[in-house]
Amino acid sequence: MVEVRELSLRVLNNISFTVPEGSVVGVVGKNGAGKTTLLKCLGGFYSYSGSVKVNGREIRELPPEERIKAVNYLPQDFYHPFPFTVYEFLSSTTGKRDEEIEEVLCRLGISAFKNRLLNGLSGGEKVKVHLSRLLLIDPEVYLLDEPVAYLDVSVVPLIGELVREISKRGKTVFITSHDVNFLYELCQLFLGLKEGELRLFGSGGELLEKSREIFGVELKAFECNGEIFIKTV
Amino acid sequence: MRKVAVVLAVFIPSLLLLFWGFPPTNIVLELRLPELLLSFGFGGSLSAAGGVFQGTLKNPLAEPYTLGTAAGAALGAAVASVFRFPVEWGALVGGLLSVFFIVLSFRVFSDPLSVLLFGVGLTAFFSASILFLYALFPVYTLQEALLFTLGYIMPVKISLSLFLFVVSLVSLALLIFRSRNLDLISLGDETAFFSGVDPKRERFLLFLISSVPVSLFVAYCGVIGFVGIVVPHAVRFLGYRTGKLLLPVSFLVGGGALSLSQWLARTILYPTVLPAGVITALLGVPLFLYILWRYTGGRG
Repeated sequence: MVEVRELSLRVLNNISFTVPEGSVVGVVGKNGAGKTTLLKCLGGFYSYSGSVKVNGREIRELPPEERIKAVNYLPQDFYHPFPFTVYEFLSSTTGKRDEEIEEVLCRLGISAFKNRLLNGLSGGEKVKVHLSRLLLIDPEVYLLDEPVAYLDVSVVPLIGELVREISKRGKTVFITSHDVNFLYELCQLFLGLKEGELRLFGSGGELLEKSREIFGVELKAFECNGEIFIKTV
Repeated sequence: MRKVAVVLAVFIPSLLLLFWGFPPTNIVLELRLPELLLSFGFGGSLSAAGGVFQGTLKNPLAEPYTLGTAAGAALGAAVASVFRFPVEWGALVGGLLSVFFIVLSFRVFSDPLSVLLFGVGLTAFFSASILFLYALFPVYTLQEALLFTLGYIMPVKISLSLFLFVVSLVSLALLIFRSRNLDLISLGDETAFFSGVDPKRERFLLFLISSVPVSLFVAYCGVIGFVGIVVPHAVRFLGYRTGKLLLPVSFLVGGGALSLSQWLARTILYPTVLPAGVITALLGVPLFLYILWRYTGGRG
């Protein structure tokens, strides 16, 4: 369970919510609304005021080795100025053994990348490598910042499947994305931010109701061949 | 093959510096050996520090020379010599003060390019201050001061050179011990933090450990550029990428590179001895441009 009480920092203003274990939570809002800042606060990266507890433990009070297993983060931007192979990257960031690394790379379909240089990979390939890092650490709470931003349409469903599988194991996942269709299909709960204030904490239906307040445009759900699509009106 | 290249890079310059011209044993022990320990230790420390600075600032152009640490140490040594304090203490204070400035600038600017530009400004300011100081207080001539800013390896006693060499080895050992943290910071502050490392604290510690031997050597050898940039990149191209290999191999290759430069500085215009920093710049700049081409044009 993730409990946030009166969380404030720069763009974030007095945010409180409680998310049960195993939830997939979509964090939405316009550019600059504070989505990435919120995720980084949940991970303890920024010094915030208020409280962030994961399964009853205050995140910023945990020793680093426990903190990274309690909550971990997939960054939005990847800048790797120096040559590291995918294996070197995963080995130094997770400390895991060869077999475990190979297993996760195989699961994400990138085992051929093992000895390739990280700075030679495409944006989407880098996302998969960073996701591998998270899967190797397998924290209680996954913070995924724009995981599908660089991915082509053929890979997005794979990320969705992965998130569902993580959630089934009782792990909580927070995802930011501008792809509302992707989030609507995947998430049980939504956090809607506007200028650093929490305007929504509720279901997909409530997201549509408050879409004008959060995004400045109205969103509506349409059904087509049994599938639901979200479009701006 | 790459191991052979490293071994040759260590032994050929060392043998040339020690035995070129077949000098008598007492010359080898009293003059050549201290010169080798000083050149090898300084080149090694500069290269290891270059690897650390580049990784911690995520900037391929960072090194003690471009970030002002070497020039800060040189100014500290110059101030100490003017006011008759021990030069090594002056250099240590000057070098560590510039580390403090760089760490502070990282908090203010946060982007690696601005920090590098701040360091370039510091280097220019410190180098000009040294010449200005010696013009005001002529402890040494301006020509000697200029040689110091160009990197002139002075003859010293064997005990002093041995002490400095041991300091450089201790610093290298501490850096290798923390090399995983260096790798993590070079992958980004977020990646480091979410791998269990406090990037701000670790960056400061790595700067500090790598700057102590560089500052001490600067007191006796002046400011030497380009070794700290070129060597870590060359070592990465050899395939030694992670810190636990990059740092020791950079130390060995950098030590060899400065020893070779010192040998060339002593022999090419014999009997005139050139500043070693002139040779490192003459050899280093084309290599530096090649590396730049590999980073941009060659790799897209």
